[in-house]
Amino acid sequence: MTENMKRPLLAVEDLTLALGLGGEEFNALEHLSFALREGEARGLVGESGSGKSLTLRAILGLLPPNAVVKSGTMTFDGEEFDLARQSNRSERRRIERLRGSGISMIFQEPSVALNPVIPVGEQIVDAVLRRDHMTKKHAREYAIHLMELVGIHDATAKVDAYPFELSGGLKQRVMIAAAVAGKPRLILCDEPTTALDVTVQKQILSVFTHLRDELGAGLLYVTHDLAVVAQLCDSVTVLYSGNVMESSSDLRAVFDHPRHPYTEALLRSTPDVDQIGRRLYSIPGSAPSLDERMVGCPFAPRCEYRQDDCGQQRIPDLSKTPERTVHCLHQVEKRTLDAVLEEETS
Amino acid sequence: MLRWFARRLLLAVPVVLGVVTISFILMHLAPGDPARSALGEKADPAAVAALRHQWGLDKTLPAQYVSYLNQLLHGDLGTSLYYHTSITTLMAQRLPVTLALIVMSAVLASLISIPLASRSASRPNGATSFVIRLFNAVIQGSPTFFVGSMLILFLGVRVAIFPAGGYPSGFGARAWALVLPALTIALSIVPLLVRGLRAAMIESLGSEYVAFARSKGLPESPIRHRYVLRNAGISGVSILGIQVGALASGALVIEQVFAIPGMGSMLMTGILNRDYAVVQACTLMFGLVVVVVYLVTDLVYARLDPRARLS
Repeated sequence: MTENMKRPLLAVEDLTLALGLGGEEFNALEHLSFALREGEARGLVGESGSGKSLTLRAILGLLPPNAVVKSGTMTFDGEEFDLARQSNRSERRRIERLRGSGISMIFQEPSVALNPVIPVGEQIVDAVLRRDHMTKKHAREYAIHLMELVGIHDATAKVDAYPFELSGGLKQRVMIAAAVAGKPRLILCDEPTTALDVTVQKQILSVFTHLRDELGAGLLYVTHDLAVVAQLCDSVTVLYSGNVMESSSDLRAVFDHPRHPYTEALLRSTPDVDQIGRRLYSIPGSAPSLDERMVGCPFAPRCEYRQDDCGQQRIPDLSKTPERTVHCLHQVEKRTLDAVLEEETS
Repeated sequence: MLRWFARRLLLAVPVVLGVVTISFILMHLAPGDPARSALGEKADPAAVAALRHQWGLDKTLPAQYVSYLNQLLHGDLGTSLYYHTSITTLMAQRLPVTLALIVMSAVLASLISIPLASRSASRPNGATSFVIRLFNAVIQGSPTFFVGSMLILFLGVRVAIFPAGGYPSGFGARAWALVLPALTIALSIVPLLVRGLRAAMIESLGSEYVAFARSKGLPESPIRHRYVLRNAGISGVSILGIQVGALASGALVIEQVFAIPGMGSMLMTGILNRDYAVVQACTLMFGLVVVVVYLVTDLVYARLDPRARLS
């Protein structure tokens, strides 16, 4: 194992974040921890409202004004940041310096994340142009190069276009080009294919695969789509209601042997072409809203394996292996997912 | 862009024709007889009839309209009944003064509103923001002539930086003399402009495109200028454009307060002396000024927002 493999590139530890709503504060993220090695692609999976996007925004210091970080540290490339001290100007500056060249981010909605009145080429390079004191001509060439890198064919013709003149898929490619312009070591992806139709989704995913090989950047990929995670990621962290349920640096292990009932339930409710005719599982009930959260395991009310002790205290990591965390008292034992699905089909 | 502007220009033609027609009809709907008021109540009816004939008032309305259009096409605005001179000559002296006043107040209004709105938008609930809102409310609640008088009292008399009124000769002195009246007019639209810009800036600051710009590592100052101000400026320009009508009528009153010999004071004397031809010419000119300003607004709007160039 090389030095890079052992030391994580990014580690988030014990992140607790509250949102202020109508004078009250509710925890949207609780004691969230995960890590990511250099060049690793980690999927951050959960239903909407589970706090995936907030996690990404907390990392880059882009939280909405009503969000308060209660506790949490972040280590990036050996440097430690106190996420709870972002009201402090110099602490905030330290995170701001990471943006673009250390960590960058791709947003969910390409149609609102690009400035409508500035040509796309300029938006791809405006940050790098300032930092590296590029000439206008050089910057333009670099923008065209990046657009070609993300698979825009007639980049020279498109570089001066305005966002409204491009399709959703092209806009998303432009955003990816802008995100890689500063040669970041980690790219945060906030459901970058959700707003696109299926065929374009596939193309964008192949852009990501291509970029990983080309640039070697790590990905923290937020999605609710397990199929995307399976295709793109090496590792996975499953969130529910602002808490980590299960996390593993080995994606296959989680997909084949989910240990947390929520992970199992998620996998069972994912459609699969190999199992046509199987009645798709759906998790009973719905995810709790911010003001409904309580003590103990947040998934307990909807869990098939629930017992009386689930709701009494915060569930610690009860995994017996270091590369995996499982926050569950009554883990799914040895059964493989395939066995479960087979049972359902018959 | 050029074709777009040519189209806009073409569309302005019927508007101008409408302004001409309405200014003509309005004057002929107004009660009273210009010939009689020119000669006095006790004038000889024969003399009145002769004057009416001389001015063409005895012709039918359509015939008068046609000759009016014909006059206008030759750049002739008629003859002032009161000054007994060509209105075109008069207008050539008065119009530039009023135009300068309007332009200067539009510039001053922007110079005041943009920093106030920026300050207020970056901390919407801060103390500065509160003071700015209070200032807005006070200004908006004060009539223009009152604000003008106060400015004369403080900046014209107590601390005599600016002349309290009048219109001296020489370019520099004239520009200086226009500052206080322009400031007065500007202040009347500042509250609206600040509020509109502030709302647009707050929206822009919270937008995804600003978050994305930050995530790229773009520093705060280009974000403020290239992103926030640029996008908020689009709605600012529309507000300012619409308010220029208000600026023009503000100029009308304020020229009186500051004794500025512009079109406003010409219109006022025209009305008081029943100088119909002058009133008609002034109405027409004010209308044309507004039409031109709207055109300029559209042009600036299209410069700022590429999406507007489509339609």
